[in-house]
Amino acid sequence: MQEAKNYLSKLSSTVEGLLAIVVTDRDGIPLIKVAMDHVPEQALRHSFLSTFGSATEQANKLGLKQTQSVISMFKNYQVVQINKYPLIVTFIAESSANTGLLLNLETDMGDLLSDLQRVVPAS
Amino acid sequence: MERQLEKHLEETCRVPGISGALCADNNGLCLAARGCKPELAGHVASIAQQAAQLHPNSSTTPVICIESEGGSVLIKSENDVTMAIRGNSWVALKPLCMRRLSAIKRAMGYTTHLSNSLSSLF
Repeated sequence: MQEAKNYLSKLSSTVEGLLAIVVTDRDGIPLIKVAMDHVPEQALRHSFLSTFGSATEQANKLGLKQTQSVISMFKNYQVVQINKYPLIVTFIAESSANTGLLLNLETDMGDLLSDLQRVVPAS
Repeated sequence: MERQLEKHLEETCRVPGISGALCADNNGLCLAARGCKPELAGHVASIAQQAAQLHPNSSTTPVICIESEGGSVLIKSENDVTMAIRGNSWVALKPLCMRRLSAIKRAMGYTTHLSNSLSSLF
């Protein structure tokens, strides 16, 4: 697990403005978390992270099939959440960070996420 | 909505020697891509932003040329749009990149005003 955290730490330094990477289950319970000191603490809580599940449930009813990602832009921060069922990958970054690069990090985390997907039971 | 933008990219890719073109916004999200993977938009925008920091007081943004064995890529950003053109020779690409970026921004409703000083870079 420490190796995974070290890898995510290195990955987070590749995108300027990226503050935290959190891999959680559907309920928002973190499996791995790498965060800088000045990341807003409320954004790391399971009550915030689990909103992705409810949002995707509703979004799936739009008739556009499965939700792949949700990008939320706020005044000072942006939150990019990627659906890797049964996991949710959340990137918290400054609003000026490159959103395209954040989305591309999913590819770099591919192997790690495959291993974690096997571990977490799908409900 | 993006038909005009895609039409411009199609016209760009029809030019001999051009193998691909991509437009990205300032968030690194792909606006349109032809002959290029849309996932490259983040990297293109990031390169343009990093290069602009080399001369932060400059009134114009730089034209970035990346040459490799496989070809050349020319990247230029203007206001909120970054364009990348992939082809064989950067010498041929540069004026095309400038014209296409201008046309694409008009298509997107932006007004452009390309400074003549850009040509002094080459």
